[in-house]
Amino acid sequence: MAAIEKLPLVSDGVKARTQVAGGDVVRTAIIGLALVLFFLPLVASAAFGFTLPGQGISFEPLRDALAGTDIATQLMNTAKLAVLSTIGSLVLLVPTLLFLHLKAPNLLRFTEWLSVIPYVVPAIALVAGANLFFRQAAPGFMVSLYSLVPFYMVLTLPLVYRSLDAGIRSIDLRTLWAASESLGAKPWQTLWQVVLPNLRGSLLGASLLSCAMVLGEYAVAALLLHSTFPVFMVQVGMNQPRAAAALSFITILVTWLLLALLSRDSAPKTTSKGGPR
Amino acid sequence: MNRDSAEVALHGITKSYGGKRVLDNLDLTLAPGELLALLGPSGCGKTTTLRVLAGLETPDTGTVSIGGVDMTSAPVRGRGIGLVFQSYSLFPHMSAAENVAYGLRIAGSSKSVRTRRATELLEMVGLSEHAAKFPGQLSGGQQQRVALARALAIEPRVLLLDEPLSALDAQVRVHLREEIKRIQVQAGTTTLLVTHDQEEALTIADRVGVMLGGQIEQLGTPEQIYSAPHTAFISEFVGAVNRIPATATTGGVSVLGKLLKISNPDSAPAAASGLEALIRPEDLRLTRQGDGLGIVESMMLRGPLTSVMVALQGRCLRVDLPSHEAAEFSPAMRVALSPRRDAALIDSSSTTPRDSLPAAPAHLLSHLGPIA
Amino acid sequence: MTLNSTLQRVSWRGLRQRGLPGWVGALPLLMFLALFLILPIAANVVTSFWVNGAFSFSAMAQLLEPQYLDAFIQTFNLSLLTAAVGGVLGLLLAWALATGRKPAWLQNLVLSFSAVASQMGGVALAFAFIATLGVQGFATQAILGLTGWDLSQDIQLASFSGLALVYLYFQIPLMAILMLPAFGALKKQWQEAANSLGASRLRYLLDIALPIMWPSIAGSLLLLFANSFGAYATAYALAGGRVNLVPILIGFFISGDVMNDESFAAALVTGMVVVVVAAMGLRSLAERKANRWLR
Repeated sequence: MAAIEKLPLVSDGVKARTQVAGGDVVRTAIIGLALVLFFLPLVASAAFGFTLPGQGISFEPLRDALAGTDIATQLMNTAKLAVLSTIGSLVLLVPTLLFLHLKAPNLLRFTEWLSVIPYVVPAIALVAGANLFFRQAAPGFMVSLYSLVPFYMVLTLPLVYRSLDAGIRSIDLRTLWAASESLGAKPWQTLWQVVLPNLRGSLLGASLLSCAMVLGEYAVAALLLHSTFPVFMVQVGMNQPRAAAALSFITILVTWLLLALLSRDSAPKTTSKGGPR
Repeated sequence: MNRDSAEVALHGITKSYGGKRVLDNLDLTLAPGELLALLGPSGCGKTTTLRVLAGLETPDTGTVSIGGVDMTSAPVRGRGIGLVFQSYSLFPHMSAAENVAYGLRIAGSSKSVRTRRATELLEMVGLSEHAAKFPGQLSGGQQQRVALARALAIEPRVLLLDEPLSALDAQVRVHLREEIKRIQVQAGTTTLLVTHDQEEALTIADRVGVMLGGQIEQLGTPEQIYSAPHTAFISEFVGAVNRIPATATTGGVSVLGKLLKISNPDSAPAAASGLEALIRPEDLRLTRQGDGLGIVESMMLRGPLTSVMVALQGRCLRVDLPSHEAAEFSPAMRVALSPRRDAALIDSSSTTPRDSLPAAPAHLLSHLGPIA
Repeated sequence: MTLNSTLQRVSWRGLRQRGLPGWVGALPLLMFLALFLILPIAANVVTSFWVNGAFSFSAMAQLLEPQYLDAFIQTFNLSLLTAAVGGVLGLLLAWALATGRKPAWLQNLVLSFSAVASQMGGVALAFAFIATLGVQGFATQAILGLTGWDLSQDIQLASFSGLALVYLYFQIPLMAILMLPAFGALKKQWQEAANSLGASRLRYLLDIALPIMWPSIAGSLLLLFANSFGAYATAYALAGGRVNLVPILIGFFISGDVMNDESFAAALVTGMVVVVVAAMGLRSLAERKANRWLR
């Protein structure tokens, strides 16, 4: 905070208009306070999770909690789900969006509207409906861990769709496609050698968003009785709060890292409904 | 309609941003009711001057007075100014009429007064039938008219126009600048117009101030600025100009074989060699002459005028003639050139000799339509 | 999925040559959403009106029983409270972020953290707060050591107010992120023009800034409301059954912890979806208005 106070509020020697300078102090105070409040739970979970009273820094709570559990399986489950959901979303959306942009741009308004529906439907409602529908329509379906993949794809759709759509809009696909075709490229060559390389940024952005959301998703997995990392965290947290805090700290840090990578890639802004609650 | 037109004076204004001096001890006075244009390249300080006058910027030193009252530290809203910006300054959630009436609403005028005045002003800018429309439904030119009406509604003592036409299409621009002039004369409001478009400044201003580096290089009537620029910079900024080699002689310079007086004896370089005379394309006389040094390279029809490009001593000079006179020339013809006037602006030759025509500003060319 | 994608590929390449109608390209997405989103929700809505093999309002009417009505009221209040408080504070934060002249690193740090926090929530957030404000939590212990005040006695995380506090952790940054574009769309000329026309800062705020931003603000508040109304993981991990909330009730029904009444469980979900859809519908109305102005 000291650094903030030292900042020159008004450039050199200018007669400061007091109201402006006053406004700046308020703004800086707000931002400083926000920063402290944002970080407090993060710092606290690190401090709480990696210490024991009277012992200082310790990995014991975490080690104890993890001993004898199959954390590795659950981590792998979550990782597999993240990768599969991401690939699934890209495989579904990239060709669809490219096709629509090239061949039927008038449909884009409609698909964009569709893509926002999962915003409106809370995850808990989706689980309830899915439970009801698939238990009758395909009783075996929900047994497999991988049955979560399509639901995760649905939940991440608004963000992934927007990210990809913005990416495609920014490259002027039609011109690119026409240019490439005029040079004699076949459609798949154009797709592979021209379009996808240009979409790298938004593909990466969409993937990071998708992974970050799957990493934290609890409601669907827990209620459909699948064992993923967040589900494991809740089990641990029931009687080992220190270990749960440590795991939370790591989760938040990883999420931040994923999203920080995203903003570094200057992918489209994510104005979105929040993640899994 | 006009309230007492105010005299406006800026004295010794200095303004720096982060160590960079944008205004350097600037003095400027506007006579009551006059339209003064500040002209200059971007970064010359012209907009800052306007903002200092408006109270949107506080000068580091110097004083601002409006109507003889010191306004240096008065807030924007106490200065009695009307502001028109480059674009998008209308309040998007209010109709055109509501925008125009907003200043009166602040002042506490009754609804009937507001409505009457808004109607009156919208009529003046020719938008009566659009009174109920929102800014989003109006074209750029219409929006600027509403902005002008809004600024005038409060009967400001000074009208400040910050590049009001720069965001508009060429045709709208030409039309609207005449409108602005008409309305300004009608309202009689002292007006400061900031622009980078020399044609705009020359056509509508009573006086033009050319700015460079935070100071006013020259202040005068459009005629003075165009025909008798004090410096090479002004000459080149306000129109097309030919740079022609000149040699110093006693009492002047010799240009194309003619002895000319130096019109800028104070600022002209003293060196005897490497001098150039700056002569506008219409100030050159062109004659057919079998042993002339010049060769016609090409001709460009610019409407009433035709530009004849003449290759002379490795340079390309532009001569503007009435198109009917230009008909007697054709490419590859040998011609002689001589200055029409008796004096010329002298500059030391630019380090990178121009091998082609000193280009007229692109927007000027575009005004003149497609070149035949 | 594989079927979908294969279909997609084949149709996509074939189409370009044969020029089939454009909607075919949207078909895979449509089918996917129909199967995994529309049909489940539709099945749920139908079930809530289908009691013992016949159309009936009885399940929906059951929602009015005190216990369930209370859940809706509590959830509504929690959403309203966190949307309102989070909205105001988030607006302030957005204002500070959008208009301040502070160092870029600080701005970027807060911005990036806002993005994370607004996306966060869920289980990790719950445990992070237990680590902060729980009985043995970091802040609780620190304050106890400094002042002797045991704040865990006064602020119980597993309560309505505790949940509200935790929800604010994602509501405030979410509001800030949502409002940043609206602040960006406020043109500096509007304030300058208003000032030149005689408006004070307050008049500018009341006459110009707020009316222009109002649709965005309303839309964002509605999104915050919906966001909180459907939140499950945070509430469950913090409070379990100790706070009577609709999402938690739904969770209990799905996992079979309470009586097995399929129609009523579906009715609960339908009730929630109706509230959330209403909020989001209003939001899209507000957004349409905002877009008309802020362009």
